[in-house]
Amino acid sequence: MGFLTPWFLAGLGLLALPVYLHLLKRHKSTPQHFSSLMFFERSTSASVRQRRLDYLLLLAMRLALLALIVFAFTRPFITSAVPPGFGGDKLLLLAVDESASMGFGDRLPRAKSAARGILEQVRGATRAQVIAFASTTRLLNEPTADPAILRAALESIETTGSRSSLGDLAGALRNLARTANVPVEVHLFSDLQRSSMPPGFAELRLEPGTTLVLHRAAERDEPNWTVESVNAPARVVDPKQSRVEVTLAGHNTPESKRTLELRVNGRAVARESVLIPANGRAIAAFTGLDVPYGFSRCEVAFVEPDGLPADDNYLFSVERADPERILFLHGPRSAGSAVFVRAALETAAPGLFTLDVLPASSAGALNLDRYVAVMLSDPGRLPPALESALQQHVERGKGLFSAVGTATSAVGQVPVAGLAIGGSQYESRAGDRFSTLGEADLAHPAIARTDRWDGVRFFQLFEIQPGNAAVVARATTGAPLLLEWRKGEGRVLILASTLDNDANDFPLRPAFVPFIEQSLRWLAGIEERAARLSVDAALDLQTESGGASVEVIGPDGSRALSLAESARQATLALDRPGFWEIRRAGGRRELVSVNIDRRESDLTLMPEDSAELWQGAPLDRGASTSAGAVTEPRRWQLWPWILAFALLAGLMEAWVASHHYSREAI
Amino acid sequence: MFQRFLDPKILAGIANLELTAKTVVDGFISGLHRSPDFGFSQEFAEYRPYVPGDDLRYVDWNVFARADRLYLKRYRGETNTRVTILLDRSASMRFQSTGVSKIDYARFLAASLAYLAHKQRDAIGFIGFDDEVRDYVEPSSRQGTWLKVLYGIDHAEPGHRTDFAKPFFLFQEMLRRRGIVLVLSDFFAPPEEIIRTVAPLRHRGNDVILFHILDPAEVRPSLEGPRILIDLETGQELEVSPEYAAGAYPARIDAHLEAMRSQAQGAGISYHLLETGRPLDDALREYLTVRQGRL
Repeated sequence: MGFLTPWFLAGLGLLALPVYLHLLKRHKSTPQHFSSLMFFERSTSASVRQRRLDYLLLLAMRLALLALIVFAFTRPFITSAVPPGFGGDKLLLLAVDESASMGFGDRLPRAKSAARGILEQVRGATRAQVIAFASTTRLLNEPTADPAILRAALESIETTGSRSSLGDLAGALRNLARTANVPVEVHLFSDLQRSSMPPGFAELRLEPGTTLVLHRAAERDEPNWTVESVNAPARVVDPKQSRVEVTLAGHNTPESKRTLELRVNGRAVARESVLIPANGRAIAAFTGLDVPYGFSRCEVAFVEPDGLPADDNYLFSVERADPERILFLHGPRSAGSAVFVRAALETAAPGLFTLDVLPASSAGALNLDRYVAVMLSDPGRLPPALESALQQHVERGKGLFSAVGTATSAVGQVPVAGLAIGGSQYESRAGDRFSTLGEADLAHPAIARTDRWDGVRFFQLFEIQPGNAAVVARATTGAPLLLEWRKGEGRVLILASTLDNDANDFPLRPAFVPFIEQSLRWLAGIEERAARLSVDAALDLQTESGGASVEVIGPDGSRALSLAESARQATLALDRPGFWEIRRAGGRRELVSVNIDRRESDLTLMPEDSAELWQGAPLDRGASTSAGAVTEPRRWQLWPWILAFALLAGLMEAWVASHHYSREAI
Repeated sequence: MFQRFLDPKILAGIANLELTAKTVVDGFISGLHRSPDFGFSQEFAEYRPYVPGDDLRYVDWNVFARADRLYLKRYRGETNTRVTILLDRSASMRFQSTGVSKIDYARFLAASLAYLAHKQRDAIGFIGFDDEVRDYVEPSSRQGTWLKVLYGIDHAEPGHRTDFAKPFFLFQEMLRRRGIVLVLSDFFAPPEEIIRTVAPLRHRGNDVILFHILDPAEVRPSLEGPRILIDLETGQELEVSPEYAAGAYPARIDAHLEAMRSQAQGAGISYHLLETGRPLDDALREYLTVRQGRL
């Protein structure tokens, strides 16, 4: 037995205080003269003896109370190789960190070795359960006392690309403790990264009755370099003008020069040397990304790996494709609108689309199959052959954008969709009388990122009867402003105003750019999806049309989803780094690159005081070194027990004192 | 307004015992104007014709002047008696819990009674005793005797322990003529012993009144904690608990008082319990009742 703060033993001098007070205030019967004692008897002094007994008991209680408090402050402990009650009826949880940082050096083997040492001590009615945790917690077996099952579960743990989250682990431990109905003892084997800690320490709390023992698999803050991020175009139209920017970071590192390599489909195409400052960041750039048509698997990696190889490379996918063609047909008085649309597309998605501008009257013999979408800018009456071709174009699942102006209004119906146009609403520019966007479906792709068409004023709107079309947005006057009409797989988007600045000032407002870009992406079926994700991110398998028939090929080339899952599963957790290939309905392909969470790259350890606070006791450094270390004597704190006894002594003292003084008050 | 002068605490502030006695008696008498049964012995009783041999000093010469006949004037005051006050001056009489000790209360009472008797022209005597007879004044109606009695009462300081047997044996020798015997004591002795000692006085034709003077704390003691009590007469010490003082003691003292009362009545002795916190008029009224009975 020892004391962590033995100097508090000086407080035992306080014991003199109650002794002194009791002696000073020692009970004495005050002598008092009385005329005659003939009616008194000596036997009446029995209660006085009882009070003296009370009095001695009271003194003893007070001395015990003070002594216990002083002992609690000295933080006494006993050393024992086996935890108290280790063989009793309880649940032993062995939580092993399988996050990416455990791949540094021999951290995971050491953690597993230490866990095996704990398992060898399990006996009696104790059942154990092995848990692997990173961003999520996996229970590898049911609670059991079978050492073979426990060892098998332990050996199955390997490092993953996930980041560790001690907050999520604590939540899982709380749930387990609530349902265990027996005391729970948790042995946590981890490198205890600081980045694994939750924002609030309260999230680490455990259920009462849960004992936590931390076994550190790392002793110090190890240096580590990482390719933190890559900024590269997802779609390459002109390889020579493409540029790849790479951010490199060093954690606990000295200044050093590192060599980078850019690899495309496994072939090194460029090298760059970068000076990374001490514990800082640097940026490297590769100009020109010569990739073949289609998706390419690209990678930026250090030539010489460090202690944690998992974050020494960064994967990204690039698609090389020609621009999608858009046919822009305008009427006799709306040729100028093509300027605004072209400028918007070049601003928002350079190289993604090419715009073929033609007067609608001369487009009768065009082959529309080359176009992913067609835009009609107040074309007026279309040639019958063109309108028929457009209808077939839409029925084949292609998109059509139609802006209605005075020429189209004169025809009386919207081309292709056939919706009736009732007339036009005129506003006065001089009187600041205009309408703006009123009610709108802000989730619709065409207006989702357009900031509600902020500042856009419509001076002339054409009254379109919705019919079987869906109204996406209405003007403040209540008139339909943007409508969606569908036929088969084809979609038609109808704007009840023009694309130039005659009937509105929409082309002059910032919202016009994303509106045109998003509308054409939607009409052309080019959905914008994230192509670079971190491990444990969820991949959205839903398509815009709602269909979920998706085929996912994992980094190892195997299918990640069964046939049934590919039909109904909405999301997929990307649990390993690498390239994931997604094949959606309609033959569309995506290549998603998945990298480990870069928060794992910072190998700075959790502050020792935080770890001690969480554990409720000083850290046992010996347990973290090897399996044998767990049999070394441990310190078991006694102050909680002593405080409990002090509380008991205090309560007894109060009771005895109350009893004693109530007797004296008679 | 004179009633308040019967309060012992106020009387204790008067240094002169004679003045105290006069204050008490005058105040007491002033409060008796509604009671025609009480009066002085000098009040007129009757006229009777003169016969030869009568003392000429009692002839009413005014009647003789009007009627030319000799008549003698008779007064009740001619039936004077002897009043002897026996004052217990033992050590236990020193006890006090209120503003007045038992000995002071007894002295006030004795002086008041003596003054009352002196005003009635009774012969007054005084005996102070503890275990011996300490003071003795032969009963007499002379002015000098009154002063002697007053002096004796005034200088009656508590002495030793009480022993009724020895002094009362002497009283029987001293009190040869009948009269009224007033005994002022706390009577801390077995009741049968007290009555046995006092009863012979009654048998000799005396009217005996026992004034049992006790402090309120002796009747209902109240202890806040265990106390060591020291007997004022014997010096004996005893540790007493509050429980006993509040429980068993009152029962025993009540039994003692009841025994005193019943045994005194059985012996034809008047018994009167006086607590030092009470006014003196009860005692005076008791005396006058007895005195009236002797007329």
